[in-house]
Amino acid sequence: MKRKCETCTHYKCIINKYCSPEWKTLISFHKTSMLYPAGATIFSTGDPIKGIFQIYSGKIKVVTTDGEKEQIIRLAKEEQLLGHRGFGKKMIYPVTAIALEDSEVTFIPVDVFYSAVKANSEFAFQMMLFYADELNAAEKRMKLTASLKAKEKVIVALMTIIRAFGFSSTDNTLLEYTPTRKDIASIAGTTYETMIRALSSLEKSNIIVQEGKAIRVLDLAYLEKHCLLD
Amino acid sequence: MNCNNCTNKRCPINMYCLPDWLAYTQNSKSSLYLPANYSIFNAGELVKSIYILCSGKAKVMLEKETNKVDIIRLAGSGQVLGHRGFSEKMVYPISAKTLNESEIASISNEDFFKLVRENKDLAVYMMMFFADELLLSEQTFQITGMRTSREKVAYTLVRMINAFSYANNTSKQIDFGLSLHELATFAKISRSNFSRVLAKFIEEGVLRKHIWNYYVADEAALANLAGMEIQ
Repeated sequence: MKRKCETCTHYKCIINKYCSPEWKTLISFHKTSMLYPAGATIFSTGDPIKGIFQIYSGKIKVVTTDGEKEQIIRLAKEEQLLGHRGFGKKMIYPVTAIALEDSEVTFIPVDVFYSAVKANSEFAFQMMLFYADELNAAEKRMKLTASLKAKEKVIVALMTIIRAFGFSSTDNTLLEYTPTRKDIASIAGTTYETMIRALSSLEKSNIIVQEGKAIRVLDLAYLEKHCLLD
Repeated sequence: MNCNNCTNKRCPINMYCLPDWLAYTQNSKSSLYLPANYSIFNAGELVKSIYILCSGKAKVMLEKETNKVDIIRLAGSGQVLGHRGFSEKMVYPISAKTLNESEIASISNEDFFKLVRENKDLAVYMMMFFADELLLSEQTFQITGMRTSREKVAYTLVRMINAFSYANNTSKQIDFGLSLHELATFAKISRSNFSRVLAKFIEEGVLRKHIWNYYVADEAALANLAGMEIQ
């Protein structure tokens, strides 16, 4: 399905917010859209960069791999950019993006994206700040990874999920999306077993409840207070 | 350094701003002349300006929770400093110190944002610069767990060459702006191990040593070991 920027109602989208109407029309002309089922790879580490992706609907995880070990470094949902890591001198993806659920992702060719950045000064400025925030977040993660205890890492992982996807619109303590336990361990940077133990400990303290695969947060203030990433 | 007739080809302001805006920068910037080992800004301070190293060398340090300080970046003439502070909080997450006598241009946030908004090429450059910094930062993080000492030393040398350029382009003399202790800190290995690898590189013909100076003898081999191109 063709998605048009000029009539889009995704008001948080950086293109919608900061590009001129003429440029939205031009971007729409060149933009393509693809459907990815859950588990499908959008791009892989080492692929050459041909453009930038934007999530129209769905949820995506961005992972780095070290041999067989996978670390989730970002969770993203609709209206967010994807594939910006790797823009620069090398123009090769240093990460892999995988759909967590059925997702629709749009793609803007790199030359159109560059032209839009050059022609829309506010867009360029906001892109710079977006990268600055990403750099900050990456370095906070690095600073803490070595020193956090397992439980603290799992709290950071839970807050990362909450900040990325929020709570259900019909049940405001239930996570809107609970990744698999394996993925939660991968966000936390711990083993599966350690993560399971940490979740049980949080459950015993009445901070969370595990309802099958889903997680309900009973004490958000506790998680926020103990999320050392802030 | 006068922005109107600056010849520094590595300075993004000089390379990507229109002549009128170079004049604007010249009138609005403050020039700081700092001695070696002088603090430029500290972690936790509010971000009020961005800095350009007109001449000299600097190191950027990240203090970890364990009170250990990691050198995460080296910057040479023409390079930007303090951009890591641009975030919602506008607080520096890192500290920067001069490595030798340096001239530094301080451009207020307001003026810098004006320059980025009004000079399209600078905006694109800054976006790509941040993209590269993000990539480098994540690579540096991976250095700890993933690399052998040889790769760590090669990576450190290439990062240093890319930051400071060669002291002599023809002979490819390395411009060591850091002490051996600091080089080892950057590489996250011991000083003795760093020295041993340097000696091994000389033996293998990757590096060459003459009196006290080191030269790159085989750029391709060094870049290959580092997993990073020499720019």
